[in-house]
Amino acid sequence: MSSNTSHPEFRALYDAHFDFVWRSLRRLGVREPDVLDLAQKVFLTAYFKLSEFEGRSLISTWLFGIAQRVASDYRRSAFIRREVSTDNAELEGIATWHEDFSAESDARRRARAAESILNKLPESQRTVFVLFELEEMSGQDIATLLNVSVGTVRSRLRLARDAFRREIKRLSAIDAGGRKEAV
Amino acid sequence: MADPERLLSSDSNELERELLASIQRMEPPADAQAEGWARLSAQIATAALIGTTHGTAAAASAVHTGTAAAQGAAAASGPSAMGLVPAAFKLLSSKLAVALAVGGVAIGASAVWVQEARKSAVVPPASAVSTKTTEAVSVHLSAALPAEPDSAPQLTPDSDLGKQSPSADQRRRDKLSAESALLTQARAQLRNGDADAAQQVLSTLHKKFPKGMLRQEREVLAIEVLAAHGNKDAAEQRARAFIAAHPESPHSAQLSRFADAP
Repeated sequence: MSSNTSHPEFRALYDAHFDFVWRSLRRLGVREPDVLDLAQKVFLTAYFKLSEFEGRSLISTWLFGIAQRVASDYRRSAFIRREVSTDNAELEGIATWHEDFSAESDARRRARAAESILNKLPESQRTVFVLFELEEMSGQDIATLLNVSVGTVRSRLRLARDAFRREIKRLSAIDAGGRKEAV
Repeated sequence: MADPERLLSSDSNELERELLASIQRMEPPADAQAEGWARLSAQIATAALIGTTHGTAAAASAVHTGTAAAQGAAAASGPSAMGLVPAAFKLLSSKLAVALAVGGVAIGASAVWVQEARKSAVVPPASAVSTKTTEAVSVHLSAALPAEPDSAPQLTPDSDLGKQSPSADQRRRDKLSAESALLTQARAQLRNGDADAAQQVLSTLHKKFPKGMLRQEREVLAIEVLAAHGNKDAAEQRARAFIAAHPESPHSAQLSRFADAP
């Protein structure tokens, strides 16, 4: 992308990457009602900083870096912290899904459960987990993007996977318990 | 050392894969992209407008660049259109950055808009492009980009904006930040399901900034609060009034869902 990028070109960039930015923000813990607002923030930042993009990485990687900072600020804000802290209770609720959530589709329920689990990961682990497992980036690319060593990426990934599995086990256990009680 | 196998492609726990796949399937709603662009155009225009209150030539460049870009004409209007922006952006005050960033929503879908870029592919070369706020502050900008920041064309606001001292500019920006913060608060409360609290903040906003720059956003939010309270008729009536008064505002498309309600 040259420094002479025009508005139509920016529109093309927006159109080509909107879905990607939206998905990335969701995966990084931005709640659905807030995603569009934050996606705009990402693109506004990109608009003003486009001339700083030197083509050393994919533009999607560059946008992800911006999205990551925006999502990080979002999660740090006191208001959101309060909201995220309720995810524990939400998770318990999701686990006992057969009664309260009978009207909700399985897919939707799974997505909510997965989101709640991700919300429990520390931000640094979550970012690596999302980039590796969902964006399917290589360890080396993640290390470059986050400016950390590949070893750090691996160790964060290991911790994130452990936590992810632990939560799933917990969820299954609560679910099994709930079923027994319901009988 | 090679990367480990990805959970999704491994034959690990089925539930693990299901949950991961469910995250991978998250997609934006169908109209999100278009709505986002409408708001983004407004944001870029807002950034341009706020730049007019900054006394530096670089900020003036930002205004020109932003406006030219918003008019879809940066390519036609001269060299380094985008190149001038970052420097100018850095010069904007931190309060302004807060207004732009934190209040992104509020300002983003802001009372300020520029005639839709896509509607006019060509910017009138020497004539003015009108940027408008609800306070009817209209700033005329030359579309031509300066070759050097120092030679940035003079801005000629046709309100008393241009007569303000720097401290008046500062006060204006402070007011805008405060207004934006309240609006962001009200919006968050509404999203959190607390329409009453949102209503209270909107009342405060109305008292403190009866002629605020973000009156359009306040009205849009007030309509949403009415709808959240189940007051569909009043929401519809005010949505219609808004659309009639501001047919070209990006908010009007957003509000049509209330106005078109059966």
